[in-house]
This record gives sequence, C-alpha cells and structure tokens, in this order.
Amino acid sequence: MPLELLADPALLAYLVGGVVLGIAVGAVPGLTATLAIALLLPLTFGLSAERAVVMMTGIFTGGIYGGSVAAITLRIPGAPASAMTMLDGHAMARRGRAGSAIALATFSSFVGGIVGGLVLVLFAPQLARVALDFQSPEMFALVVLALSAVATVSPESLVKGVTATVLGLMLATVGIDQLVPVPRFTFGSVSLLVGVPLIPVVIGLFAISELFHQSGEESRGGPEAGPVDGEAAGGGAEAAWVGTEAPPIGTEGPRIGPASPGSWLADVRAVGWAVFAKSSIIGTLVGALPGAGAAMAAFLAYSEAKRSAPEPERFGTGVPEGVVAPETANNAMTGGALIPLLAFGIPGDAVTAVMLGGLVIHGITPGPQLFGESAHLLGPLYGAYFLSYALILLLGLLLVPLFSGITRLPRVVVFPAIGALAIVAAYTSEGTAFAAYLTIAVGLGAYLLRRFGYPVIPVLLGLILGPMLEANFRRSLILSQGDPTVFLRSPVSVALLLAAVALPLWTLGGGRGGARG
Amino acid sequence: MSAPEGRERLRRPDVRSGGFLLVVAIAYGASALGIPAGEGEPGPRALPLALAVLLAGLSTWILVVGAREASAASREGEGEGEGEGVPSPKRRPECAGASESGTTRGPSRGGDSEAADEGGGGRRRMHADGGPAPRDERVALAVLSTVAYAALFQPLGFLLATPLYAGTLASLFSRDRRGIAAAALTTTAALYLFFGVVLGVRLPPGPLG
Repeated sequence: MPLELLADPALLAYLVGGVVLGIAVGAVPGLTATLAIALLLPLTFGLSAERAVVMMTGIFTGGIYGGSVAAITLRIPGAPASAMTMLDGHAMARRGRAGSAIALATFSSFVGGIVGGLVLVLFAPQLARVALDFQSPEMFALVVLALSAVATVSPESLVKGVTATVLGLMLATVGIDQLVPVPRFTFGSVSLLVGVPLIPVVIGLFAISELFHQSGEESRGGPEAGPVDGEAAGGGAEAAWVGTEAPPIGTEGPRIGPASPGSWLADVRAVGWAVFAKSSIIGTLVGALPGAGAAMAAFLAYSEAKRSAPEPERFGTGVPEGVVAPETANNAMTGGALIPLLAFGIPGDAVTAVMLGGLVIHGITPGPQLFGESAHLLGPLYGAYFLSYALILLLGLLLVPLFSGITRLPRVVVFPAIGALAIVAAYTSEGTAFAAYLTIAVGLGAYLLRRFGYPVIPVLLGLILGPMLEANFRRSLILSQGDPTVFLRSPVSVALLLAAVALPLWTLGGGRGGARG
Repeated sequence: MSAPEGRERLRRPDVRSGGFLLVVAIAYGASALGIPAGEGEPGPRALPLALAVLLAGLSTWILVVGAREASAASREGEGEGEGEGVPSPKRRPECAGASESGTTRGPSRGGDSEAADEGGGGRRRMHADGGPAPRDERVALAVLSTVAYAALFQPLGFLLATPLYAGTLASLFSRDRRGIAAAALTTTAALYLFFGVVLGVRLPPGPLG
C-alpha cells in the first residue's frame, strides 16, 4: 500500500504537505491537533476523496506529533495528549536538553505510531469486537479509571488533583442535559446551551494561563538578581529566556545543546524496550476503546512507567522515560483510535471526531460499508498513515535544531505572539467573541489554580470525560432500574473500578516509601 | 530545611484557595438545586449535586489541613511538619502564592482571594522579599489588555488591534522601545500571514477594510 503512494507523486505531495502543515500547526503553542485539522480541512474540499483522505491522515499524525514540540520547549502542550510529555520533556529542556527531549519524542512517536498502525491493520476486527462489547457500566468504569489516573499522575497533591478533576466535571455539566432536554448552568446564555466549547478551554487552560503566569514573573538575569523594577537591560536578550520561570537552583537558564545523536540514542538505550513495548500496548488498547482518547493513553502509560520505575520520585524532573512513555502511547493510540472510527464511526476523542467530520464531508461514511463499497480508500489511508510516520521521523530529527530554537526566543517576542495567537485562535475556533472571552476567563481561573498549587490538566480531562461519565452512569442505572450493583456485574467493570481505586494507593505508597525498588 | 515562616507562607494559600473553592461549591450546588429533578432514575441534577458535595468536602479538607499545618508550624517550628498527618504532601509548591507576606488576612475570607490576587498587588509588592514573587499589577495589566484585545478585535480590526495588544504585552517583558515595536509588528505580520493568507481565515478588517 505505501508503495502505491510512492508511485504517485501527486498523492505523495499531498501527504508531505499534510504532515508538514500538521506539525507546523500542532507545534504552534495553543493550537491543538484538533484545531489544526479543523483549520486545514477546507484545504481538502476541492480534492478527490483519495487525495483528501491521504492529506487528512498526514495532518492528523503530524498534528499529534507537533503538539509535543510546544509542550517540551514552551511548557504549552499543543494538544491535551501532549500534556504528560510536558512534565518531563520541559524539565529536560530547562536543564538544557531540549534537543534530546525532542529527538526522544520524535523517536517515541515513530515507534508508537508504527506499532499502533500494525495493530490497526492486523487486529482491527478483534480489537473492535472487544470495544463493542463495552456496555454502559464498563464505559463508566473506564472513565472512572481515566479520571483516577489523571488525578493521581499530577505532580501536585492528590487532594488538589481530585479537586481539579471535579472542577473540570463541573464545567462539563454546563449546557443542555444529554438525556433530558433541560438546560443546566446556562444562566440564560444561548452560547452556553451547547455546553462549554473545548478548544477555547484548551487554549485558556494552557496558553492564556501561561501568559498571565509569565507576565507576573520578573525578567531575571540570574538567580542572584533581585526583582529590579527598572531592569536596565530589559530587552537584553540574555536576561529573559522563556524558560526562566523556575530556574534550577544555582544554574542559569536553559542552554540548548545540539541534540547529538549519541546523547538521545543513549537515552533510548537507557530507557529500554520494555517502556516502549508497554506504552505501545497501552496506547493501542486505549485507542481501540471508543471514546477514550490520546490524553488518556498518555496518562495511563506515564503512570505505569512511573509506577514500575526504580525511582518513581524522579519523574517530573526530566527523566527520558517520562517523555518516551506518553509519546509512544499517544501515537500508538493514533492507530488504535482509527479502529473504532473506521469500523463503527465512533470517534476516539476530539481529534478523531474532527477527522470523522472531514471524512463525511468527502462522502466517506465510516462503518461496515467502508470495508465494502469504499474499501479502495482503506489502502491509501493505511499507506498514508505509515508513510506519515516515516516522514515525522525524518522531519523531526532533521528539524530538531529549529524546534529547540523556540526556547531560545526572548520572552518579549514569544509571549505577545502567544497572547494574540491564543485570542485569534479561540475567536476562529467558534467564530464568536464569546469564545475569546471564555478563553480569557478560563485562562485566569487556570492561572489562579496554578498559583495556588493545583494542577490544571485534570480540569481538561474532567471536561472531556464528564459527558461520558454522566451518560454512562445514568444509562447503566436506567437499564438496571436503579440497581447500583449493575457496575459490579461484569468482571471487566469490576477490574477497571478496582484499578481506579488502586492507582492512587500505589502512588501514595511509592511516594511515601521512596525506595521501594 | 525552610524557615518556619517560609512554611507558614507556603501553607496559608491552601486556606485561601480552599475557602474560595468552598464558596464555589456552595454557589454551584445552590444553582444545581434549580435544575428540574426529572423523574425516577438519576436525573439531570444528580451529578451536579454530587459534584457540589464532593467539591465542598475537598475544599473543606484543603482549608482545614492548611490551617492546622500553618498553626502547627508557627507553634512548633519545623520539626514535626512532615508527620503522618499530612495527607497532601506538597510535592511541588512552585508558585503557591509565595509572595504572601506579613499582612494578616482573615483565613475564612477565601472568597475574596481572586479579587485580592488581581487588585492587591501594590501592597504586596512593598513586602516582596526578593523571592520570585508574581507581580500582581503586571498580571492585572496582562489580563486587562487581553480582555481589551478581545473587545476591540472586531471594532478596530485585526490589523489595528493586534499591534496595540502585542506592544502592551511586550512592554511587560522589555523596556527597549525598538524591541517592543519589533515584537508588535512581527506578531501582527506572522499571525496575518498564518491565519489570513495560509489558512484563509476571514479576520475582522475594522476601519482599514
């Protein structure tokens, strides 16, 4: 299948264009892969179905990869799924290893993407059957596990992580109820009837809150320089690195060493194949479950890598495993998520939901008939998928110096651009000024949460998973006529709920004991 | 490791944020009571009410533990701080309002923490003790200019509003006039190229259009 693509230069050009645009848009801080596809979708309108599918696949994979670059260099994940990569990736960047972190992320994306793709092609029917067997109680249990993992993995305290999750779930309750046509928390606003739109919230949570956070920080020349208001060299490029928000004690800001292949290859070897393998499996399995997204895959893989690491407490300080695990899983999920999307028309997350919209626009209705009458489009899609990961590996490694240069930009250039970009992107995503105001409000709230030591990532997952949590909970109880033991009837749901309880306990044990290994 | 007063400063924000979130939980719960219950099975207001109760419990926990630790720290110095009774070890208290200085603020007045964070900058700044204290008036300027940008985006148009906004933000990070002007212009040009030309998004033209 990839060979046919290579034989058609025009098709290949659309693929390369899609991947490059996807990476570029995904790497822009505050722009998500979702937004990348949404914004770039009109470009494919004039194309034939085949070319459109190839280009959209390229945008899809490139956008997901690109999101990690901004997460590592600027601590602003381009997509929710990159939020875990941010923890150790940005910590590595702050220690002057941005190049290695990006190279590691590139390689992990490639490994995860290829594994996920192989599973997609080889095991699609079986995995899809497992996913189809999930009824409301199992889906509810799965969502509970995801939320528990999110709250647990956050580097801040467990109580604050749970609190942030609850805040996200609260945001998700805004809008018309899913099962009964009743408005909730809309306060008479028409804009809120459809609920809180995702993209303005993502931009607010990460881009705007970072802008406010950085605005409050003085430009500091070094650790000993006090907060001098009349900092003479204000524009001095050496005074205001982007990464100075929390300079490591006794050292200067980040220095971008060139990513010598030896250094990141040594990291790959140190991480070991087990992390790659486990994360690929987690990512693919999570992706294959309808409704579970890339963010969840990344969270689960990260927490599993942390749990099984000899020194879990070092996670968050810039360990290579912390980049490899979420990145591998995130991209393995990409292949996995296409399984329910293609076979049953169920999108895995926001990104695949937009993909679904694009396919429908081109007259391709995912579902059983796709494998019948539209089967000729599956070849190009699979081929484009694998080739796009080869391109990502190539482009990612070649462009590492360029990407890591983003951290070398002075704050005076970066943050005005992020502020304006965030507002324009929020405005564009919904086409209303309301979205821009919502972004600012969410950004201010997220800034305050961060300032008081609360994690913001669980807020986002609460918002995304809230509707699934509630709908499946209520549907389960309606089916069982109010009998709560419905959640304990299937072994799958019991196992998932037990894992949801065990995860925080494990982490607490590991955090307390320190030297469990 | 850290001085007793440093400990206290780290913990008191918990009292404030816990108190504020408790107010949020009560307001949200009160509003949730207005949702029709529906009949029979868990209706549209079941989850909101459960979330309100959950948040009230969590915020009370944060508030009480924060207050107890603060008073314990001030009484005993640092010796006992890391004892077993600490359910939420602060693993990364990065920006936990470390600027809070000697001023005494009623611990239960969490509800005003948001306002205080935005407006109370001037006072706090005088007490700033050299730590990486967020300067509230700078944050307030960033917030206000961002709101102004969103408001002026359509009437002024992209090409006028963007350099004004980018220039205002740049002035927070630099005092060099040429650097500010360059940042304002490159931001406008880059965004215009990306959204207007590459993506073909229709940006508000304003009076220039």
